Amino acid sequence: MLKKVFISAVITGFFVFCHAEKFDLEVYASRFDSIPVGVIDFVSANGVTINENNPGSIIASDLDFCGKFHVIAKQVFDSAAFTNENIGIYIDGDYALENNSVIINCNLRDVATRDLIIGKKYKGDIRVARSMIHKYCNEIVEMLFGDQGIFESRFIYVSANGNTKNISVMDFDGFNQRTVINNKVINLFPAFTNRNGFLWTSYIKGRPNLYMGSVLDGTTKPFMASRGIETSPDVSPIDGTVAYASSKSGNLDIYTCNPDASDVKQLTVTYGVDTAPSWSPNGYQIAFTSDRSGNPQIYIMDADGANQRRITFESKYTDSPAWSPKGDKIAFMAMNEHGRFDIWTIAADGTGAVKVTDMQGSAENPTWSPDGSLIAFTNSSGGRNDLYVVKADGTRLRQVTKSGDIKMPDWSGY
Amino acid sequence: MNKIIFLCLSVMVLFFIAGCRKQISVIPERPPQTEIAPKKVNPFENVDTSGNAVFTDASLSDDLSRQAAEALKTIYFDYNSFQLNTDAADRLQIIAAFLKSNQGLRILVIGHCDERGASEYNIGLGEKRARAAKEYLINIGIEQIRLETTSYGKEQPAQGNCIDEICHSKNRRDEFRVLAK
Repeated sequence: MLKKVFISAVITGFFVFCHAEKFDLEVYASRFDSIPVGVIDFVSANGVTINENNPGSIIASDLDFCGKFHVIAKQVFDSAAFTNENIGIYIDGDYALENNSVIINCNLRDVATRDLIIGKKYKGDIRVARSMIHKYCNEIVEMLFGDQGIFESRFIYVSANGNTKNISVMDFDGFNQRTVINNKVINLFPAFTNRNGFLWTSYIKGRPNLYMGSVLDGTTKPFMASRGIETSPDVSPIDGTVAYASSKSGNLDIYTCNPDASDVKQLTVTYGVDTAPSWSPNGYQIAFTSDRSGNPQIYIMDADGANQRRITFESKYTDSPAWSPKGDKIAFMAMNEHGRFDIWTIAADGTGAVKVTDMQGSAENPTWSPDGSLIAFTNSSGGRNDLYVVKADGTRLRQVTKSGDIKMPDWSGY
Repeated sequence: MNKIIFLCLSVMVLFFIAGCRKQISVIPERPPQTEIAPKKVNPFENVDTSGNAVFTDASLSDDLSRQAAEALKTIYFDYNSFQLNTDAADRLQIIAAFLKSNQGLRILVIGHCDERGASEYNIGLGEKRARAAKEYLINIGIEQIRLETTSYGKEQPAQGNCIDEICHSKNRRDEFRVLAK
């Protein structure tokens, strides 16, 4: 309810300015928990048409993806259909292709009056047309919700390739898949350090140790190695402190170090396996997996290793904690009675455990969208692993990739 | 009149300050950050950072290669366990005998898991399996310096896409390789 009031207040600001008085009432009357919006296909301004990826369909796909909108896509403006669906605003536009560049006009309009609420014009190389549209969708979200949009975020992930495993990146919607590490060995657990940098575990030298890489030019350098294992890096969003698991003292424990690998601190000292650290967004705490109780379960502790306590009791086997960027929930994977995994969320105090997915395959390695509203994970079924996205409340499940070779995704920041 | 305005303003300022104070008090203070010293560190200080692999297979004579293949048989584990069963112990005795009669050789123990668990945890479990074999060999007289361990977790199954226990059981294993000196 509060969200509705807030959204209405934001939109009210616009309609007062743009004289679209009916709009506020229409949002209130909506049966959806998201803003209904119409999107119609963009038309060519100079007769040269785009056959695939019409800007209108990319906008419809983006807005639908983020879960904040109820999107009705039409080829042309359809007043009756929009009114029936309680749609108060819609997006239309045009594009002009010229040689290798494109000019795109995007208009947000009032359904009742068809008046322009806000218009944006983008010009650029045809190869970055999708990015221009994503940028526009970010502006729409920011304008209507006051939040940053997620449409320029991306995934880094493990792409299986026979006996080796590569590191690849792709846009949030599964487009532009690109391999950045292909070194003929096994590479695991990539984690963004910033928009272009990442840490990951590689068997380059036969042992799994940590390396640092760049998605821009594919350059790499060693980050942390011992005679044991270094794995599962995660970077504090506050100061870049790296949490990771290392077995240099005998078995896997959680350690932290500075972004330059200096000042290594051991946070857990148990005989069991402690691994998969995930920072809380304020940098005060770390969630991790430990089998100190006999089976792997999720624990949390302070950033200095104090106050270690178990928070999951729902399954005999849980792993892969991911702390929401909003801070309120931790997503994790929990084994079900069929020996496969489901994605769950739980509050950091151990209350309110909720099963988010219930799929035929095994749902693994959750990672949050930068706005904390969506959870991405891989679903493993019949030897194929694809990326799925679901709203944190379990609704709007969608398959993002169909390549069948995606594992251990990490969702970037905005 | 001016006094009244002044009074109102003062009250408003007080409220504002009180409000601010309240807000500050609910934000937990971040523990003071220790300044990051710009010291040069080399985490690879004791590790070969060249592109060469740490674990290179030894090139053995045909005869020794045959002996190694005979002695260094894979050992298997129960589900989610790193305990050595009697079969595993028997095989480790054979491996120990092979190492004792070939004093110059070093071996790598590689721990693996079946495909059912989580990747993160299985890396740790695989390492525990490798270390269990290493410790057993040390306890029966093999020098620690001749034994290296690593883990592939569930990332290199002997048999992929398992749907039954017989298949899974072939993946929960330690493998052994003779390393170059």
